[in-house]
Amino acid sequence: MSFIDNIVQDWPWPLKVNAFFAILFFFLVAITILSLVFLRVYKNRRERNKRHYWDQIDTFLNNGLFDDTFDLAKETQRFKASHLVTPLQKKVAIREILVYNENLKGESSEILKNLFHDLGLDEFTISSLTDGKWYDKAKAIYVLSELQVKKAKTVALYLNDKHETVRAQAIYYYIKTADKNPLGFFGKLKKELTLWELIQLEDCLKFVYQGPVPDFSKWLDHQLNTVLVFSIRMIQQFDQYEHMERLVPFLDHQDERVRAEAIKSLRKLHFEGLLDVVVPRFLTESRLVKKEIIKTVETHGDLELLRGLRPALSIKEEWQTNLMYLRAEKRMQPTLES
Amino acid sequence: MKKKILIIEDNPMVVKSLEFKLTKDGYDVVVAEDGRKALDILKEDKSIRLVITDLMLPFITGTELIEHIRNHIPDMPIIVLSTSNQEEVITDAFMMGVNDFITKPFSPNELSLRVKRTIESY
Repeated sequence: MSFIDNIVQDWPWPLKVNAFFAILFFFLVAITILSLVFLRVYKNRRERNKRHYWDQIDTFLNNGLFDDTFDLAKETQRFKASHLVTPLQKKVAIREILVYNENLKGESSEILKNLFHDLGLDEFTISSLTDGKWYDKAKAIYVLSELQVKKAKTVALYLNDKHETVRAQAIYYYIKTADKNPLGFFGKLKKELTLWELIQLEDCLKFVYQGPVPDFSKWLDHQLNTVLVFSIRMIQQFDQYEHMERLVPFLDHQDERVRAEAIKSLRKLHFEGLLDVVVPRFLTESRLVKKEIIKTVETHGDLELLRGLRPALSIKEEWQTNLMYLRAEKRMQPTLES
Repeated sequence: MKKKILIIEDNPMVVKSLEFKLTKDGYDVVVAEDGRKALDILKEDKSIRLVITDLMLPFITGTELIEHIRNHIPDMPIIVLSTSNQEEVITDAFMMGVNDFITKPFSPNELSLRVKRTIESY
């Protein structure tokens, strides 16, 4: 028998249990403390390495961008072989190139894009796109779009990704890198766009895309209702009056969102005869569409026409529509009195 | 003798690039990461010939800094380097007496030419 057994054998069982848990907790605490220390040391070391790599890439980029005597082709190959070996080094380099690209334009921006390719960082990014987790994929697509790397076929695979962020980045990529057909990816979409994606798409089209305004009517026969909603809205927002007539059939669309958007857009485009079409169907319409009809009557109709809608608003559940009606009526009252 | 330029900017990347580029162009470059340090440098160093400043700065904003420089060193040329491209911000800056306004992202070559032109005209 061992020394410990000799000591423990005479102990009553509660003491044995107590001793067992005391030892167990001691080890658990020790493991936790050691883990924390290890993580801290690891993180510090990683941060130190990052700063070192950051300095290296920074010096290289500044020389490449601003020093005319710097042999860029030769130094790029040298830097790639000696300073871009580990994934961390490559990640730091990509981040720095992105930061530079964000702040510089003109010739410098072009040099940065070429360097991204010549340093082999495009290959590394694409590999993390195919092998990485969803956040790696989203980040990789973002990098490709910011540095205008033309890999549309590769990115197309992620337009229908199960993760929203990846899908959103793929959409952003198409708009950011497009020269003249920013919505070409609509043809590849199989999933409905989320509200957030619709907002982001509109925002990118207005503030990121630099090419000519696309013809939104091209997508009016799309199978996805959210694409229809978007196209109808954009026809109105970009004042494409020539396609106004093509929006009329959507007043009979089976999806209420499409019908509501069609009314809204036709109203804003001042389509003549809209009231004659929408007012008679007020009673049978959904709440969403009813709201648009009330707004349309308020904008293009008169108080009498608005009051004609009132009998259809007696249902108790429609309190929001009722409220909207009352507000519209109140706004229209002074016009009548004056 | 090299002409001295004070850069007031809190983005390390922009600072490094400007420092590198302007040094290559033959200027002496002094850097301040915030408005307070910039004021200290301006008080102590009378050889500074140009100020390049961001508008969004820690402690003292770029606008306050420009006002201060205009009140105390009216002849000091100032170039604003800012991400803001709003007409109102640009107009306000010129009303305060800045000599040039460059928006980010910026072209280093263009900035270099504007710096040269501004310094030479003083």
